[in-house]
Amino acid sequence: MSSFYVPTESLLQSRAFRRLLAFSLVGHVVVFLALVLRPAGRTQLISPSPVMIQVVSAPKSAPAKPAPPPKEKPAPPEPAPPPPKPVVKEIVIPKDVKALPEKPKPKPAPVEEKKPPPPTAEELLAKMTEQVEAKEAAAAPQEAPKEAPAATAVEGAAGAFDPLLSPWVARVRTLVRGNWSGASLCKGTPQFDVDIDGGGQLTHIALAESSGDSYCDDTAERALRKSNPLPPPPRALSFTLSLNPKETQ
Amino acid sequence: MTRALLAALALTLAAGSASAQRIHIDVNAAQKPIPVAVQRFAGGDGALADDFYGSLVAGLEFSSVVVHVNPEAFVEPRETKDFEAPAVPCDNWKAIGAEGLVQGELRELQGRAQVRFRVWDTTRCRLLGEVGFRERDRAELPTLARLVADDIVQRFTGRRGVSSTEIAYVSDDGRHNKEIWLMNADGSSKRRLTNNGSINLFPSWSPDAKTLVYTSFKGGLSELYLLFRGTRPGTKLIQTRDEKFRGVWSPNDDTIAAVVSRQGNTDLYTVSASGKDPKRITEDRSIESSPSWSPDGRKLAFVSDRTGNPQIFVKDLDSGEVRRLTYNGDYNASPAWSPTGEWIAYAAQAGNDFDIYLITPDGSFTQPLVTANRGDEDPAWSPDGRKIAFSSNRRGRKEVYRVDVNGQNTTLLTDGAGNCTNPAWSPWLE
Repeated sequence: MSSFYVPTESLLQSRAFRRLLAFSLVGHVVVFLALVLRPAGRTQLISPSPVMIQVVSAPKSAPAKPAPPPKEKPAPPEPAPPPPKPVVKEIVIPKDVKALPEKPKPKPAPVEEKKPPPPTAEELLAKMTEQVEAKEAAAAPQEAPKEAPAATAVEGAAGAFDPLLSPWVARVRTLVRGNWSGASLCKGTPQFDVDIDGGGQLTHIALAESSGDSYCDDTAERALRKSNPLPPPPRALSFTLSLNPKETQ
Repeated sequence: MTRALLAALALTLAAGSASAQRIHIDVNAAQKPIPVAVQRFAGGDGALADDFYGSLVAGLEFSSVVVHVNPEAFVEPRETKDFEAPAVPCDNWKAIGAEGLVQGELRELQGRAQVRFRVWDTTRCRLLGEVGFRERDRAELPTLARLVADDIVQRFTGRRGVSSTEIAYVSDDGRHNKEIWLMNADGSSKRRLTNNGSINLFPSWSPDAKTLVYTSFKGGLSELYLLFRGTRPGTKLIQTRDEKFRGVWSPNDDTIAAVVSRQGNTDLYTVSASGKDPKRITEDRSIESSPSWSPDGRKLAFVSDRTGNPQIFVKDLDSGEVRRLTYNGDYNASPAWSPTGEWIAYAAQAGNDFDIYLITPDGSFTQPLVTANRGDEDPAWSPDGRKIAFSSNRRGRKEVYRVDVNGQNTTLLTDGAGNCTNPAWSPWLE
């Protein structure tokens, strides 16, 4: 047998070794517990001074799918799913760029995702009716409206220019004037009440005020009928047409 | 696309809106005549129909109110095919711009030309008036056509045309005497009415256009004479020894206003067409002349120098009131009251010549009518009140022109060798 050193007493049998081992064990347990029981949020701090902005995805895609849970979060113990938020990405941008926390406020995705059904034609027309009437009401004078001011409003009074109606009136004036033959018979100014449909077709002509000479009135009526159809109006309307024999350039 | 859709929807919406907007549009006139299509009349031999058509169209255009549409543009036949047809394709006539259509038939029977015609308003597609009928001797076919043309003008304007009327005037025919002449209103068919080798002036028509009163020196003194159509010999109007310078027939009866010089004082008188019942109208010591009747025959406009120079005055024959009408200028003369009563035309001196002006009978408004560089005088109204004949020396010698009352369409009517003055436009002949 060879003469090697063979301890005659194991380390466990050493009292000092056992103390050292106990200290080590306690220390590891303490460290382990400290790691396990420390607050979870502290692990998110990646950078010492990050600026957070929210980049909101396009509204079209946002409500299409529920937002996936953040990958980097530790499996949260919360039972409820995260509140419906748009997809948020964290990016680091220079500090002097201000975050815009208010504008792109995300809407509740599931709620917004459901668009109301497209309006029916009747609903659209009703809405437009309201808009037109509201516009006309706003444009109307505050006092009880008189017929004449409303009638002459298009005639070019300052501020009364109607971008849709005024060019149409000019076209009607040119057309009827060009078709008015025999105006030299007239001393007075015949007036006609005229209704037209949306296509400009005359639907009603009535002599509202005679010139005092039926032959003059006839020349004016012929001018109107010869001008049928009138240019399609920007909106259906009735009008009073005065045919003045005075010649202009 | 969306915008167009919205516009269309808005239009539909507005169309259904009970509160459709009412606006007011003023249209001023472009002075244009009424375009009327005239189909060649059915019947008659080719020459007859052609002659008639030419005179008819000329008569229409003489009015200045109606113009014929060129037959080259017709979609429908150029000749009346079925005069009795109850309807016409108005759209086809409207399509070429015609507001009226004249159809007719013409036939010759025992030397007489007979015409039936009817007039359509193509914009309303209805007849204007009843079927018209006229006839004349075959030799008077142009006159027949002008009469029909004047009837057609009446259906569009309410007043007959005047293409069938005549104008009497004075011409020296390049010689030293002055005779009374007559021409159609368009200047055609000039013929001499007097041939006494003396000085004959100032013709004036009776209301029925069958008699003229005129001034002549053929007996040595200035006298008033009557000249009748047909074979009846002329007569002296007033048998007194006073000088009579001018007679003007009332428009609605047999009264003649006469300028008479008695004991050196020239005043206005009225006398019947038989020369009786003389009545003094003015009694001033000044000179009164150039009377012109109001259409109702109850007022006389005249010239008087009672204020120092010739001006126009108006006398109410019922009340006797006299008022001065003209105040501008030093010399205003030749008043002519329009048949419609709206105007009094007169000659106003401008430099060494005269211009023709219009003034309202109340004197409230005056406007120039003819203001050529040379002298324009002697205004005479057409019976419809739409034209004025006048004399002018704008081409050197004096000639007769006509002009529309709006100052347009000045036309030379006489183009002979001599001087032509004193036009008198006839009333309608029938």
